[in-house]
Amino acid sequence: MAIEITDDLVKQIARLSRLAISGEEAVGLQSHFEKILSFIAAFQALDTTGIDPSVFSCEASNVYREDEPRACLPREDALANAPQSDGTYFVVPRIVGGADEDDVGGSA
Amino acid sequence: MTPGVLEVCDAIRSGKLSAAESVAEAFRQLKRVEPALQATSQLLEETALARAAEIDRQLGRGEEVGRLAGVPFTAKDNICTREGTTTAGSRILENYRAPYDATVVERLQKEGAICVAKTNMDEFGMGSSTENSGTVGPTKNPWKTTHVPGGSSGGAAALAASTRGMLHLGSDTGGSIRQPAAYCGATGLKPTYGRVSRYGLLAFASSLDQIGVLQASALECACALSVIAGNDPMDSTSADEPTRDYANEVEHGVEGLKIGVPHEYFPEGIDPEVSERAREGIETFRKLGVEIHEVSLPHTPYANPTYVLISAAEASSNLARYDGVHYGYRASAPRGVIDLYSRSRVEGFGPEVKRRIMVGNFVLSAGYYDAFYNKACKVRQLIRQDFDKVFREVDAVICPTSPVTAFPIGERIDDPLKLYAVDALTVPANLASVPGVSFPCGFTRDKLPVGLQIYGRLFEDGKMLRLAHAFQKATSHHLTPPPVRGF
Amino acid sequence: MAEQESKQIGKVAPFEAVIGLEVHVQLNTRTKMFCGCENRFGAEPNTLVCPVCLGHPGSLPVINKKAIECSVTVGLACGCDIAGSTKFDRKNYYYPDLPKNYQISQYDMPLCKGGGVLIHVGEEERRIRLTRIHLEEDAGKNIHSETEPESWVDLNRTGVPLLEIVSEPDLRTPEEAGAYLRMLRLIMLYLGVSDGNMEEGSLRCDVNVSIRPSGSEQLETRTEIKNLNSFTNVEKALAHEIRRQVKVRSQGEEIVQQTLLFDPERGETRAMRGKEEAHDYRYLPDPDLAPLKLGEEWVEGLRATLPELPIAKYERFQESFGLSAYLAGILHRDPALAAFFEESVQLYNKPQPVANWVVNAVLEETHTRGRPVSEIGLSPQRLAELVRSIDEGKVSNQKARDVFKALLGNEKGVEEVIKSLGLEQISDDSLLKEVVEEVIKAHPGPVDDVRQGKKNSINFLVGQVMKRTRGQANPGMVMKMIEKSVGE
Repeated sequence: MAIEITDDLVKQIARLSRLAISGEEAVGLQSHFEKILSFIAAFQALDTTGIDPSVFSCEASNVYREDEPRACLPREDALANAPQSDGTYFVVPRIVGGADEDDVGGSA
Repeated sequence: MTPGVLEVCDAIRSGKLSAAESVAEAFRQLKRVEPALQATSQLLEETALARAAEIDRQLGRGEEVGRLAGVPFTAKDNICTREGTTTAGSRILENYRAPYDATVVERLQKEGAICVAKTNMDEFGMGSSTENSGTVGPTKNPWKTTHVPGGSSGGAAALAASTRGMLHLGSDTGGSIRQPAAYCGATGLKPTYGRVSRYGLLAFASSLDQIGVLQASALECACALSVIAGNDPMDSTSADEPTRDYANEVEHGVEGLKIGVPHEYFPEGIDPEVSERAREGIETFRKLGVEIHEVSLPHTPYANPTYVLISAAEASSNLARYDGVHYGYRASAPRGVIDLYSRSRVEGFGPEVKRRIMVGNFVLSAGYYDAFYNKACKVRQLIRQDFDKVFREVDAVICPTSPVTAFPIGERIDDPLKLYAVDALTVPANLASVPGVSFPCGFTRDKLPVGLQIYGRLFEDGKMLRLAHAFQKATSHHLTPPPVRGF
Repeated sequence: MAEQESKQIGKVAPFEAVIGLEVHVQLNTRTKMFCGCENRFGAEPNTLVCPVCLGHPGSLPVINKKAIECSVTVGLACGCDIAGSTKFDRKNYYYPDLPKNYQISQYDMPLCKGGGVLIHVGEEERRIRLTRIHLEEDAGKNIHSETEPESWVDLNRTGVPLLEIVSEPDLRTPEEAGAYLRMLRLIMLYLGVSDGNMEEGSLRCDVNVSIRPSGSEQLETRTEIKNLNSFTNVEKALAHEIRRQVKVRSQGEEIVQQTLLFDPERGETRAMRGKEEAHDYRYLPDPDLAPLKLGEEWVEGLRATLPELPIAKYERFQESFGLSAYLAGILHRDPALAAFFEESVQLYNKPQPVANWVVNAVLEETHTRGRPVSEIGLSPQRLAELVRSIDEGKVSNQKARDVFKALLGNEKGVEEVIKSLGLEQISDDSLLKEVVEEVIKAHPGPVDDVRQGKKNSINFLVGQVMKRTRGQANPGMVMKMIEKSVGE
């Protein structure tokens, strides 16, 4: 699969990754992506017809827990590591858009 | 001879040594090597001494104390401890204090073991040299402080080689326990996937990660495994398979066992001294009565690319939570939520982590999933099948741990692919979920340790350690102390 | 346009509306989907959390067995195919109420596929097909302010089990959409898996709507409407949007695919400002969770626990008890009320009067108090006893209401209450005959009127008997007696 690693693609992936990379970093990444792609190109050619990807490493299935309550964290502990909190909530800059959107208006 | 873990354990139980003395000795050793090695990210003196005092009180009252009462242990900094901070070697978790202990830490502490330090590592487990530590800086190899100790459990490996009488928890996703163990002349165990709970291990690649130990000997590894192994209801991927008395099991003989030597694990470009020491090690097994077979694991050349892809994909998802909202580093004066995410992450993560996150998001993104991630998972199945087939013929597979020995600091760090190459012989174990152990089989002319590696069948961690233990009873490489040491 | 007309809008010649609903239902399990935190609405912010639902480093999810059972039960109730093999997937996106920045959901192997829901709209019965039902975890809540430069995040709701029910675009009018939603909610109540409360957020709905030429089979560009917080608002929003789309098409323009928000104050939909990007969720199977294999035997075991469902109850009440569609309608819409009715009828087998009492007095009491039928302080036994007492003439229908009120909130027997209120109806022949004779003697004029065929005068005479007996005479009996006496 021949993929062109364009500047735009790198920027797109950076946005998807929520990483505000600099122009310089972007150039470095372009070359890194190309190297990685050629590194993994080898196995693209392998014949894997009929193989079930089976992404799970554990052999088990149906691993459950009973619907029994466990002690929750006290609120101070839950908020203890928060970079900004008012003792009740986690505080963030005002959310303007809906999920995953780029400062789109409207409340959700 | 300096007491190892078992001697310390016995001495405390028999009253010859107090827990306080054992912990004090641990700190003495740690502090002695720290300036040269920079192996720890944090020493937990206050809490350790308090726990030791409590254990001594219990011992004094004749109360039941655990199997590891008073035994000190270190935890790699990606393992959650309530005490101290848990940073995974990353600036993005600089001051993070976990509100809970990892299950393995709980289990050790329940048996009376005492956490004395968190050890340095490559950020989030991404690296093979501990040069990617975003918090402490590189750890040095006790055999040559100009060289890397390997990674990502570099701190634990350096300490396993240069101290005695403590347990060292590490984690292994593509060789992060075994490779640094090899570079530092220690014995490093990666258990079967699911043997040890991952609850409290900061996830890198969920289907590949396992917690293990780095010690002076396979026997010490077996003792540790007996305590930390076992099903955990908090980890859905932990196996139901019952635990065993591994310390006992390793004492059974090895005559008649069959080991396979896969020719793909002596690839072109492997350091000839590594190859020589490994072959000598295999000869030792022959002399012990082990049958040596030539085997083949044909998909081995595809293992490293498969690993790189799968681990990056899973990591990109696992590391999404580090966003400056609920814990960890937050960039100053964010201009909105997206800016908060993007700047906190770009400032908090190191370069290798950012690279892998982006590669991961790329291979998972719309249109590429089938060609990359899905394909890689299928190739992973082929690799598993290779092992299934070989394990029908032999009990274990033996090979060098890494194609090279410890390399100079700075030599590979600017070329990520050159760095990935040192993992080529360890990643298959994680892909196939099988256990792996690395132990020293000799030295190069430069006096750098060479590691020999054994892979066992799923859940035959005991049998695998048995082979390593038998080797260590017949040799003394693992007893050779490094130039920099605390004992 | 009148509200009723509005709800039925869907066929505005030459177009017809095509509506599909995506409904999210919070399951009322005791604990969350992947951790043991309590699943409870209305707690203090950030108090029902733990390292798992907070997405702390190193935490891992573990599946709540009860949530799987509830979900499969819903699937069975809707006639879905239950997956033999299924798994959870990670849906990756960033939002402050999603601490892991991925939601554990299901992508390509949902728990249930197909199936459908029967709805009644007016006289019509229609089957709305379902596409799929899958299970996922809920996110937390973000609190915004128009004036402050900050937002606040409460993670109590993170991790609550959420069932997503996606319908085929089979709905044709806002009224049908409303009926579908109400039926879904009713099914949840019957199964006891959720209280389906839109105001509290335990039932949420997004709608997809497009229009096309009547009779066409093609699906055309649709818009999505979000932020709907009541059944009526769903109907209003749909009506508004359909009219808007008809207007646009009638002017020869194209419908733009977009997401709209409903403004409940103005009763209109408006576009979200700015461009919306296509989401790349980068789904991958969650490696922290083992796959699920749901055996046929286990599924059939769950099927055996299904209660009678709403439409079946509605029909049975009409067939077995001879109730009118109206009464059956009211009863089946409240499962607790329906159960109360059935228990009462078991004890006193007169479905018609029992139903009337349940549907009027009992239901009214639940509304007045704002409490469920189990909490108004009246058992089916005592209601049955009351209705029996009326039939046996022990108390008049009129006065029975007073008795009913006096029965609430205590354990007193019906007879005891009737006596204590002095409301015993006099149905004793001899007693009544005496009073009747007295009245006839006292009012010769009206008696004559009755003889001459002025029927109204009989009411006057009955009234006089009632007056002399302080309202306690059995009016039916009195009427008969007077007729007989006068006739002689």
